[in-house]
Amino acid sequence: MKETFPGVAEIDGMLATVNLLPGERVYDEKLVETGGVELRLWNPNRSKLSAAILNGLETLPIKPGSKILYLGAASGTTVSHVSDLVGEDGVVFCVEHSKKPMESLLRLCIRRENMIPLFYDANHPYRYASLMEKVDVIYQDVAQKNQAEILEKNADLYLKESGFIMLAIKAKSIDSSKKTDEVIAQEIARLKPSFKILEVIDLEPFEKDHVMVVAEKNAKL
Amino acid sequence: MLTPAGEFKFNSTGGLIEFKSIDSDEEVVKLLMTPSAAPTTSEDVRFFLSHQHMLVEKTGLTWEDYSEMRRRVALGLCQAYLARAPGDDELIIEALGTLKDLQKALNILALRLAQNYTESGVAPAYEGEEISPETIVDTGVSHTTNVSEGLARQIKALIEYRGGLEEELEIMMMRTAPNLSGLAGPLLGARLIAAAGGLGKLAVSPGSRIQVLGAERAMFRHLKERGDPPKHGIIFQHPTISKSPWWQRGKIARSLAAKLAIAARIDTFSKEDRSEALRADFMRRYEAVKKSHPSEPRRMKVVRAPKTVKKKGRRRGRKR
Ligand SMILES: C[S@@+](CC[C@H](N)C(=O)[O-])C[C@H]1O[C@@H](n2cnc3c(N)ncnc32)[C@H](O)[C@@H]1O
Repeated sequence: MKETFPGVAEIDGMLATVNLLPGERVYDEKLVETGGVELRLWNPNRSKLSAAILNGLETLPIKPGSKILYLGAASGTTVSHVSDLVGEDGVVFCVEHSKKPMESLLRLCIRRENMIPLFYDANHPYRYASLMEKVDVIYQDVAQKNQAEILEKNADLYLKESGFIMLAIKAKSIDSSKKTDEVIAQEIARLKPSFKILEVIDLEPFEKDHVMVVAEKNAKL
Repeated sequence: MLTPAGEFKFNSTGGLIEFKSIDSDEEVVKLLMTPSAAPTTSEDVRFFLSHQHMLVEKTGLTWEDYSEMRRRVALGLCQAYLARAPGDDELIIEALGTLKDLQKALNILALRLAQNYTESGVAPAYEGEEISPETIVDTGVSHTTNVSEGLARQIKALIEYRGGLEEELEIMMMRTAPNLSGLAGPLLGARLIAAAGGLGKLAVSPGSRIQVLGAERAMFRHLKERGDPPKHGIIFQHPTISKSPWWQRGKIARSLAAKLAIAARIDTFSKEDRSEALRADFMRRYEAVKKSHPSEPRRMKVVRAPKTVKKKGRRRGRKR
């Protein structure tokens, strides 16, 4: 076992995070114990962040104590690992606008004290302003056509100066008629005025036509 | 497990108008409700976010207590919103119904517009051509009345709105019911959900029921007057059925309905997209039907031929 990033362990080619709530499982992940610490295995087929790390991600801005705005939290598969990573001193604000996944997500938020559920449409970031604060990282995985616009609006309000974004781009959900590379290049170009692109990681073989982009907010001129 | 933060009150449109906290003072509550309770400007929101620590300090709370309070408000609000939120399938049914009525309205308005043009005779350029609202609006006829011009603009706006709504419906379908969408197409999938009264209801319907969904009137007639039972309802719109000759339709419909039942169940209970495999399965079955029943059967003609006048009294005696 080795530690790839603070709080991320690698065991025989599989990633794992330190379980914030020992003994509790979130989806059907395996729990393993090493040296008195309980780890939750992190399935790269279920979580794009795990896939990105396995595919060689170099910068992981999500650290112990980080404050994260997570857009498109779904039922919390990846969010639960982000919650493990930031630990007791961090916070994850979880935005999800769909009822069904939010029902499971709320149950998860009740158990995990560093998670805050926000049952809102990320297109309207003002609506959740009173429950927010400025964050270190915005993680976005909404699989929407206007994902660049959603990110822009949220980063404008909530991302600290020199904060980071992690963005999962699914080419098919943006334009299914164009080539994957074209769509991705176009979406990345949209980020350039406000962000400095640090990494673009292809998520094959875990996800088809997906990339993970890591970028840093440009200093205000 | 969840400590209630207090009581929430909503207005008729779902906006939060009041929050009664059980244990914290008014200042804190006001702060927590700030931007979302009352309409505020973007400056207010920015001010709030950049001076948050100071604003919290002013209330006398520590940051830790404030965060704890905020978390409880968020959990409570989320729960309250969930209780009143429509499910994804309800949103789909709403969009579908809206599209249907929109189409009706557009038909009426387009007819009115065409009539205005022909009656006033100000559109000679279109003589002989069919006047659709699109051609009138987009080519910008020069001689026109104020009334028609205004109407044409509204029609154009409605057409644009319809386009956006169709796209939205498709996106909602792909997200909520990827398997149904993949197998039936998003629009037909949405119609099936609407006819069943929800995705959950569709998921518990057997294939035989899905096959005749939307053909309730024919089914009723069949039960009451003993006409032929309907072979298919809205799934008739599926090209594999509507484009096939009549004697193959029943068999294809039965097999499609069975696959749709599976699709609806996966969409309800796991959401995993297995539509490709489902479609491949169905297409195999479809090809098999095509192959084994290539030509029109003769027997059916005999049954159809004699058209006798039926009397109620005789029907009652017939076997079911
Ligand atoms: C691909 S899934 C996210 C999966 C999740 N990140 C994970 O790895 O566990 C996308 C989610 O984004 C949500 N979503 C899409 N558009 C949204 C919006 N405008 N506001 C909030 N949530 C949105 C969808 O409801 C869906 O649950």
